[in-house]
Amino acid sequence: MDCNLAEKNGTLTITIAGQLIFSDTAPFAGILGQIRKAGVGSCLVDLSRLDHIDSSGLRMLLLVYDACRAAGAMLEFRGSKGQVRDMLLHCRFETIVTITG
Amino acid sequence: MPRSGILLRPGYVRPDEAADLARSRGWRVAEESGSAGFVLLPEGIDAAMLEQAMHAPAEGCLEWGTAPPWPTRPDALDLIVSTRTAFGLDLGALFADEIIARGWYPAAGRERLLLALHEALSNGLLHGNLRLPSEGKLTPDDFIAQAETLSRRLADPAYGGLPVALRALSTPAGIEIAVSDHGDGFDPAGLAAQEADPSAGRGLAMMRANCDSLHFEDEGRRCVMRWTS
Repeated sequence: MDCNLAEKNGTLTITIAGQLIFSDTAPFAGILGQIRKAGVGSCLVDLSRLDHIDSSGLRMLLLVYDACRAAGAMLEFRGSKGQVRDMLLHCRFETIVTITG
Repeated sequence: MPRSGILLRPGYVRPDEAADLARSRGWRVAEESGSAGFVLLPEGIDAAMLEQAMHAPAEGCLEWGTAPPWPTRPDALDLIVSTRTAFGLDLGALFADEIIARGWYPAAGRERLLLALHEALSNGLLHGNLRLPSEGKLTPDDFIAQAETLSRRLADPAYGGLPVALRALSTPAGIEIAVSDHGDGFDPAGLAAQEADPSAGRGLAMMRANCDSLHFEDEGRRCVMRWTS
């Protein structure tokens, strides 16, 4: 997993590239902590460079949703493709998160 | 328990170390590096070394400190590594690609094979050997605490040193793959309730969706999946 966080104009953009899988649990915990501390009004998760996600990765994205909901922040997943998009739709993420691109 | 009859191929571990290990476990050391048998690998192997080592005519690969949890078979491909090593490798992809390279399963089915195998490995490592809970919804605080536990246990030989074993068997109908861990096990009869829980993880569902049949043995410590060619 390669992950980058950037904040601008009250929006936190989280760019996740490569894979998001079970072995990314420890590094993602650090990312989750940063998201919670950011205290922004909206989060954009850029998935345009994410090639593969497993069930652990889906759980991690769900935790981003939980953190945003707890903070009252808007959340959008943008740019998902291929297997990642298939998994998000199969698990009906679109019922809880805005999925675009 | 180690099984007699394991033939260790030299090449990646010093011959005297391989000989000592073989002697202590009742195994044999092959005289030629290109012969069949198990390739004995040093601890902390990398992907390139493992990919090379798994090529035929190897019957399998063992990381130093591990042993097969089942009787060896010349028609199977076995891979046994520690949990710590498995976390650093894309083991599912390496294993699936070798199965395809041997002609045991068509390349067109790679994604299905890989998705199910990866989830079975994930379960065996996280919930088996590392004994992280598998049930219920995780809050962000729970996840962060669990991540700390995971890191601690990976570094602890009592957890991180536990082996995970994969076996592929070519059958007349297709292929069978088993993933075996050293966890506490579980009651497979309780899975239906877990799968019906909307807050539960999707790993088992992904396994079922991407193989043709699935069952558990050894009180849940071994997951056996089958695909029809």
